[in-house]
Amino acid sequence: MSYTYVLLISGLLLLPFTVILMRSLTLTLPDGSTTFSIKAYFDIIDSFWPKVYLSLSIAITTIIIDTAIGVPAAYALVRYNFRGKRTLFTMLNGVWYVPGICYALSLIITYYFLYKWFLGYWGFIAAYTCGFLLLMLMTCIVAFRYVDPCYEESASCLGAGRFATFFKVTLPMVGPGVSAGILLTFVLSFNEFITALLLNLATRLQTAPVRVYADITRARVLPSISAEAAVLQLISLAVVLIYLKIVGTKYLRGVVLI
Amino acid sequence: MTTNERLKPLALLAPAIALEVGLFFVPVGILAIASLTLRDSFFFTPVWTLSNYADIFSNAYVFDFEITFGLITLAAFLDLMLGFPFAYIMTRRIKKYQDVFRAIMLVPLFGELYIAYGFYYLFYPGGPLSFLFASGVEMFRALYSLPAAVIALAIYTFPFSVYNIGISLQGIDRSIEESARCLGAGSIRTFVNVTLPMCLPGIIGAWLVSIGWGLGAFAIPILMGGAVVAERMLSVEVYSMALLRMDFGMASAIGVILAVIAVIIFYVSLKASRGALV
Amino acid sequence: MTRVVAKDISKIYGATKAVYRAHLEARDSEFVTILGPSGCGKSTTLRIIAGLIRADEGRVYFDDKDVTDLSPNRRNIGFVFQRVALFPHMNVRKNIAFGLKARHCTDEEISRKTKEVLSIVQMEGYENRAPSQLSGGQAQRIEIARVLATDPDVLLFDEPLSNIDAKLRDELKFEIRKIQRETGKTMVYVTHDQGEAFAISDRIYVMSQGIVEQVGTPTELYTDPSTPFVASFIGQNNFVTGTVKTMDPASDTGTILAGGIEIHTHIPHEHALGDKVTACIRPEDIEILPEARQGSKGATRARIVESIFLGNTTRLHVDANGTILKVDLRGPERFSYLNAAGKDITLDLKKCSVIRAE
Repeated sequence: MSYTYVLLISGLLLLPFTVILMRSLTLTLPDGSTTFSIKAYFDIIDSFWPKVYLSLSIAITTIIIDTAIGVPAAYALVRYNFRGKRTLFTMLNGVWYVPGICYALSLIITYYFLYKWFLGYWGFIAAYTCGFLLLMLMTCIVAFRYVDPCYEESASCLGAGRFATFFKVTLPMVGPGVSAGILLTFVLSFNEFITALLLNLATRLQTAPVRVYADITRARVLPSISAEAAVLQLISLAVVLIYLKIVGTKYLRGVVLI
Repeated sequence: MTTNERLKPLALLAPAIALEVGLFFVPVGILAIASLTLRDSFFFTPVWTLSNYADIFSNAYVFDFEITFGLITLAAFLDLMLGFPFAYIMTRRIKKYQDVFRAIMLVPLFGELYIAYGFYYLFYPGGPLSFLFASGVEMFRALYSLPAAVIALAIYTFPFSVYNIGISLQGIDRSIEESARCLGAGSIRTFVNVTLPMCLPGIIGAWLVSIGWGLGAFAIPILMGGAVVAERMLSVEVYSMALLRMDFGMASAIGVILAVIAVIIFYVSLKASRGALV
Repeated sequence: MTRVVAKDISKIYGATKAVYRAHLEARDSEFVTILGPSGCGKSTTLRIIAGLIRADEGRVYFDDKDVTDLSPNRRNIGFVFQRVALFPHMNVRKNIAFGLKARHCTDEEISRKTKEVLSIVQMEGYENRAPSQLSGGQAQRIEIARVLATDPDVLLFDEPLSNIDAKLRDELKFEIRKIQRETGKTMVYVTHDQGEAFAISDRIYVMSQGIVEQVGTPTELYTDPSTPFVASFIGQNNFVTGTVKTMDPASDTGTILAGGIEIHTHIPHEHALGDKVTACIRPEDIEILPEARQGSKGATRARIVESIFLGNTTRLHVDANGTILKVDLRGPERFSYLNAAGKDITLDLKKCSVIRAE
């Protein structure tokens, strides 16, 4: 009985996704009947692929920068104790608590007013690295907590300096946890919509989700639009499944999963 | 501690702090300043005014607040109704396919946009559910109806809600429940008198978290809301004020109010559930 | 081959004195143990010697070199932790090679050393195993091999056997002792297990609440505890508090009057007539006098209250004029008192150590 309930709820959660997928695979023939076809996907390749590429590029750049910033920060927060640590951590948490649209608007205004050089590709990167830093931070903190300090101490007693210890001992052990942060950052930044929408109006750069939205408002529910949405979801799903296959859910627990 | 040792953690944290300050605190500060200007005067010669806030606190916006919070709170309740059994089963009952269900829980995180679009298509005239409705007109009403929006919102905030409840449940010491059973209480009594009170703070926290995230919902109201919801939902108003009416002052003011409310809600939920963050 | 001196070490956390003015010395090739209950500061002291913690006060010397300001990787030590710290993402060979690589040894040297240390710990052939494939005892052996590989000046072992099964613990502690003897390295060892400390140490530092209570060989600590803590922590003891009644400076003996008992025993010079002292008498040191000697000086009459048979010992709880004493009987004698509750006996209490009363 428990399984039934969970399956029902899962069905509800997956409902929008399945609906989109199904719509993308239907083709309305001239006589009004519908049939299964993947034509819609081919139709959108030329127009949609550049947007997907842009989204991917933004996501990957964001991941690289956030990892470089987040991993040392998490290390400092877990392994060191200093005054004001709690307040600092609460401050860093702030980003999540502010609704997306408010943050997006604040960025737009600030870009126009102050950071004029961000009115372009790097504006996306700036917004996303700040917005998703906390995610990387949280997963890395969990990852570092998993690693008992005795391994680092052991390495030190055996003669390894700080650098050698970090790269040969800490990083390999913490790697899987950090990869959880990378996964989440990818999924969320690849599909991010609100900030991208506002930035689109300011910079003319259109990421894939914004393209989907623009098409919806223009042409409603064509299979091609559904195909666009489905492609994005499928890419995200593929990345998640590959990650889960390789690493499992271990490092996502305590951050986003129970 | 030598000065050198105190510097090390700060050096490691410096980039993160710089990023936060430059790209979060500064923009939010500027947003607050902009909220005190009239229309788009912020970008030229600022005309300072409190009229934006005056408007928000006036009668004109009461309905907007009602709609926004009404929808979100309903969705939060729905999350509790559906989410508590889900969390309970995930943490207590199911052993076998846990990873599969955990993966499914991640799906709504992909994007609000897809949830909105999925429902949009579902209720679209001529779409898959059209057989349920008599005419095209009725269907439009369903599409843009409140129940559909509530369900969509609930799906969007479902993972966050379940996560909070789950953490709370996992934090319960099973031996306390087992003692109750040994003392003679049946399953239901144990649940009602022991388990439930112990995870009540977590439940309240989860409810608040749903509301907090719901305040940030944007794609769902904008696509599904229809005239009533789309124009009245506060998050959409920020957008339309700023980019359709060019009234950045007003938009910023609404943004500030929304942000403050959301921060307070998340803060209270943190206190309530004692620690769960997301 | 290195002398270790920790001079007046203190470490204070807020209001708690984890270690206070502790002074420890381990001579060349000596096996020194720090013994004490949890929280007594023994691990903290060891970590200060290793450089994992900075002391608030005091200095650490290896031979005559002041190493206090050196980080652990520059002290050439071998530290073995309580929980197995083999790197899980490396196999045995790579684990052992780790320290050698840090010292820029050639592949040939690494190979040779690996074989050498694996044979010392009797784990030849395990080079390619992963740590997860090793049992607790095997993993601990590999850990020891790993630290030996770098040829450290000092060995520092922090309760290495705490997480090992009792039977294996027995074997391993003697192996550790054997390795220390064969390699001749100075060892500072930490444990809370008195039996373990006694079995393998040259000298023992007994610590409690951050302070060194007493230092000595196992025999010295057992027969001559100098503080109440040591008297109660090492072995079992009966504590009888009273005053010094008489003293004979010529023979260094005297009597102590405590409750209803008169004890004739050796009293150290530091005590004077009328001093309040505590006599510590070990249960196994109390002799039951046969009829022939029941009238001798110092004989104490007592009644058996309870008799408990423990297998290799019979424990008697006796009432000597209001003072309850525990008496342990070993050997064939123990069978004679199996159901002896209520029986009257005479005890000889002279084998005790006398310390100042608290």
